[in-house]
Amino acid sequence: MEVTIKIYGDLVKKAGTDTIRLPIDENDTIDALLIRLGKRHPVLLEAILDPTTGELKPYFNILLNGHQIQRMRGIHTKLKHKDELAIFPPVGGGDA
Amino acid sequence: MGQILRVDLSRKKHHVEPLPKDLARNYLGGLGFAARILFDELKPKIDPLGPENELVVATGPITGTVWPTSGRFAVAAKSPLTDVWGEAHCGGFFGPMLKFAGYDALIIQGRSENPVYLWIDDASVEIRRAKDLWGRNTAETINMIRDARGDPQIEVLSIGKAGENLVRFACIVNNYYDAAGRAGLGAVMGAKNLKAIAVRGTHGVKVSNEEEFLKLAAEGYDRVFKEERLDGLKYYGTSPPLIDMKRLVGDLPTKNHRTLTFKEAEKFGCKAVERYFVKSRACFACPIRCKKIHKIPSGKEGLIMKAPEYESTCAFGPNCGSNDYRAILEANTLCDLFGMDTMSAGTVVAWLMECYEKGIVTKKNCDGLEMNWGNSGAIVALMGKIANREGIGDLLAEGVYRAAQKLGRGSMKYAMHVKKMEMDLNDGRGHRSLGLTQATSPRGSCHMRSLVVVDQGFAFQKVAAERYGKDKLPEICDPYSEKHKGLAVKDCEDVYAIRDSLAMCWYACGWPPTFWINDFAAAAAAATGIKEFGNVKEMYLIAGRICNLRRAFNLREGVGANGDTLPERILKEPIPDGPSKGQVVNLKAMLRDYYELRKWPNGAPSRKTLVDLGLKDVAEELKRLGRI
Amino acid sequence: MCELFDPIGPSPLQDLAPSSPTRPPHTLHLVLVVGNDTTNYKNFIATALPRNPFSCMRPSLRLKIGAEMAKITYTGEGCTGCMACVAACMYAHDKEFGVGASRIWIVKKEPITDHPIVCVQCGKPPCRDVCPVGAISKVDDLVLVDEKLCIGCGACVEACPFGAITIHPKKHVAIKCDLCGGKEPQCVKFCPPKVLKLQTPTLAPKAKVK
Repeated sequence: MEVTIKIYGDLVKKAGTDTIRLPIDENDTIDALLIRLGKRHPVLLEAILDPTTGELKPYFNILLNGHQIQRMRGIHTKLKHKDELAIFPPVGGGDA
Repeated sequence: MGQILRVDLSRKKHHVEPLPKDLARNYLGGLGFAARILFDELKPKIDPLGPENELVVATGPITGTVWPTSGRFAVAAKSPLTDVWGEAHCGGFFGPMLKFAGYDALIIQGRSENPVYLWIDDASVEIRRAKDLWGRNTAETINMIRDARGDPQIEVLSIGKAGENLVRFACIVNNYYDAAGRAGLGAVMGAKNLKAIAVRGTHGVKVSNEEEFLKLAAEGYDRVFKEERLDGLKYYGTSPPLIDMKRLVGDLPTKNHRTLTFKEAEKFGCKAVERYFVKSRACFACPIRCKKIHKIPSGKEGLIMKAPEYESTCAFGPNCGSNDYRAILEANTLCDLFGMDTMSAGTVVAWLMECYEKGIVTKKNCDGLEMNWGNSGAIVALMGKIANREGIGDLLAEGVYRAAQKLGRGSMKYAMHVKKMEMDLNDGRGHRSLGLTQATSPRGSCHMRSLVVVDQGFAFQKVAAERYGKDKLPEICDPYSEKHKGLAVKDCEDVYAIRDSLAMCWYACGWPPTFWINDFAAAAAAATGIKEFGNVKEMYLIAGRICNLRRAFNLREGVGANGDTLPERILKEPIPDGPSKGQVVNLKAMLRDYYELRKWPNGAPSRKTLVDLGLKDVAEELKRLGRI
Repeated sequence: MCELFDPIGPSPLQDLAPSSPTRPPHTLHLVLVVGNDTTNYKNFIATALPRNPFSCMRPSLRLKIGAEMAKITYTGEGCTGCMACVAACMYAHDKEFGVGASRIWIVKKEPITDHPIVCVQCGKPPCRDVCPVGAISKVDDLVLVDEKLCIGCGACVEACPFGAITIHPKKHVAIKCDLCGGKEPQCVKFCPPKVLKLQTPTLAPKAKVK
């Protein structure tokens, strides 16, 4: 079982790539995935997680199949095979 | 400073008035000035394209200083597109130069018999013949005026063919591509036979509390410099990061708002357009430098054009079902040259495409153009047709509402507008508060007057909690919930009214909130020396005054709660696919909250609301007209 | 001093600059070009500003000469044309924000070129050489105008190959970069993309030689 993580904006520079595929086990949650991600891409993880709280830095978005993870169970949301996550740095949320 | 230049094109006269102290004290500047002047000087029900309409160009107290993102100005008149309040805001360099010439605001009245341009050179003001300029595009006009005056430093506000031909959504351009874009203000200039306003000034803008102002300005620059969260804008511009995000979360208007996902939009995202990047450019004294110049492969040398902003990209791209970036660049550039609003132009083309799909118009009706979704060649071709009012362009130039009225055959169903203003490229079904913003915006569908970002995703919970209270979470951050949106919209509308009066740029306070109303208050107080401005409560009072004045202007024209609607599609058609599948907008619930907070029973300010804001005279006039 | 600083005649910029010496330039908008070649802008800098030391000098040469005097330098790219430097400069000297009396200005060639012009503190300043009243002198490597002596004749404006000295529209004297009196140059402080730098003289190489 695996999931795809797409990276956006200038986080791509920190990750060195814009697409990461990682294996998951049955009932894995997003925080388990982030730990796995951190082992392969420590610079990326450092950019998005607050080291003191271990939580996502404010203003960073994680989307699961297009939905904000906070509308589900946050980083405790369970993953399934072929899920697609997107990690977004803060973007100009306004429009011109 | 402290001067207003009034020009009467009918009598070919001008005179300079001192800036009334009351106006400065109670309305701050920019948008505030425009609102008060136009409410006082315009009568209801005048023809926006007639000589009785007035065009106001107003700067704010910090325009022309090095306060970050302050190089902006407001333009306003009665709109020929909507027949109600018309305002547009603009960057570039014209606003500061007007200040340097010694004027806080410009009021253009009447109508010239022949094409003219206004030439302001410090204290010298001339109305000059524009025979050779008429028919030229905006870039040519700017260059020709500079050559004719022998001075390459002049700043010019110009209309193009679209304004001359009274295209109802024609715009005004300065600095080649900075536009006071919406509400058809270019047609107001065209109707007055005013081709351009050229200005140059050698004076300076003084501030009252120099030390404090400079300290705050330097600190402001530092903030922007260090702000990582503005990196998207600094590196990619306004469009690619938003395209990426909106595509993923299901908030990207596609095919005339039929749905909100467009897979091919990846072609306009950060990764795809990075390769076209040549450089960044900025408006006056702006540290964000969001303007990008792109070079796309074409022939041997490639093609260099200014990159479009998000709204323009979506208008000519996904909303027309097109994945052709080059066509977007071309259509955007043509709109700059012809002086036309990209959002209205794109939306009216999308309407035509839907009508074509439904068989309401045929290829013959469209001058032989096959208006299939995604036909980017047709999109580009239509820009010229609209600006010149040729063939089908003459119908489209009327704006989507009048075009649908003329065409009939059920086409109004597909006309995406609010108060006759074509919809901006946002959708309440993907971003709920935006539905309320579009419905209540005084100039018709527009996101800029009260765009709420805290519900564009859960990333903004902290800010939402700070601004509105923890108890409003999680709904206030939920893009699909109507709850608490009235509060967020009302608050943003107030803050942005101050922003547009100072005048500052949306990107200074949109996202992230690098500056917010407390910063505006500090800037206003340090610049003007008016201590009361430093009090945030006072800022909110002025904001309320301005918002109610705009509302009163519209009520005088007969538009109130009856105009606070959204197209049927947004209210009744659930999104068919993607993350926003099934969503519709329950506008009533949000409107109710918004009216309550504004103290507008049934959508009209009560007498008490107006009196409390110091608008007793407005209350009396509205009462007399039976509007309240 | 490096001969690259010697003037070889009037700068092509003079043809484009306003004819009246009392109108100091703050921008120079040349032809709008839609669809031109990016290499053109590099050529433009090299040809239209032949004496511009910022870009036509090899980096090593620049360092060798630059190390001997303080001046404002431009990194060569990244200017966004915002003119914050222009407004900040005028404020620093006249206590008002504007572009009409600044000592730094921007050349713009649409759609992509923005280039700051500021005094390079020539080793053999032509402005000093042509001044009929001796109002310009070199003081500690800085080229300075004595406003009390200056008669505003504009000879220096004509002589400067860069267009970096101009006549103040109200005071009618020549004005040019004075590094803000040697304190914090305001243009450097306010430049948002941080492409303006204060180059300071360093004694280290000389000490090493000793």
